[in-house]
Amino acid sequence: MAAEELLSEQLKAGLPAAYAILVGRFEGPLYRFFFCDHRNHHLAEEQTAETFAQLVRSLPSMRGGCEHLRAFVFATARHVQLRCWRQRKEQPVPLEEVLNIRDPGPSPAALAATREQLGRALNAISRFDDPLRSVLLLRFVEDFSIEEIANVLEMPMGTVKSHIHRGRMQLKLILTEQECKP
Amino acid sequence: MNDSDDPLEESSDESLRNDPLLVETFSHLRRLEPSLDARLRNRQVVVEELERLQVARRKQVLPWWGRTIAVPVPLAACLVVVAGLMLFSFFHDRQASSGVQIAAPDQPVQRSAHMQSAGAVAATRAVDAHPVVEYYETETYICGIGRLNSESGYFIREENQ
Repeated sequence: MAAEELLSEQLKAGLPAAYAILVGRFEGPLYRFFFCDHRNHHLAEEQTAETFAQLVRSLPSMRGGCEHLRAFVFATARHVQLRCWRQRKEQPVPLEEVLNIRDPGPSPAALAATREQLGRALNAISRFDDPLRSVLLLRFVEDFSIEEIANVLEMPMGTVKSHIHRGRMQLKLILTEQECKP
Repeated sequence: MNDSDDPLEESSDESLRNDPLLVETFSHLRRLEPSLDARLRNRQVVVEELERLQVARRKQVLPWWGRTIAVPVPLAACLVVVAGLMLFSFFHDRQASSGVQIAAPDQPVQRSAHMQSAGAVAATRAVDAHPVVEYYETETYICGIGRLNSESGYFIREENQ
């Protein structure tokens, strides 16, 4: 915990080494957060970089300690996402294009995941509208607490809980349908 | 977290743990990672942004005599008026205590001062043989504020021949 506090302080002070740790820790989660939103590989990478640039400017004014860092990072990502929605009224990228993604990275786990399974998961999650999709991603992919999700999405905790419950039920139905289909 | 005792959430998380379909679905999404190029670009963006921030901070650091503070307009206006009144009061008191009064040249303030000298009294006696009643009025103004002080009365001069 002390190391986390130190990291938080160093980020506020603008130390490059602390930002290197921040990037290493959050570039994957941020990329997933954006990619699951629109399924556009390049746009997700752009938004991730933009979020980090925004974080450099806004982290010195972050209130609270290290326990708020993750929520702060994703709240910034959420602002970038909302701004992008306003600027680009594009249609989502078709699933076929998503499945043609090149090697997403050097991770062995990523290489092991087949395109078909990934496409099915993305297809299922993209059936949800925002903020339900963001709630599910943050909760079940990034393991956020209810309070953190409430902070990121600026909604009451009760609403987050009901979104999680409803989303889980719907997701299971969708996945079961996909399993039944040939 | 205070949400751990919520039955709704507990059932949700428990179902997720026990449901292989959901676990598998989310595990695929967890494996999504950005490309190596994107990782490098993220680091480059952060370094550039930090440098830009450093330059901006250096420009903002000023010596104490070059720094400014923000003061609300009503407060600034009040301060200016109060300072003006204090200055006026200071000079007004100085003039009063030194015996110099603000008045028109033909008004009795000067005249009364003039009459205090014995030589002047003697000279007047030689000229005026009858009582003289004169009205005088002394007013003090300040530009933009208005009349500050007013004094009026009758000056009666009666002398015996």
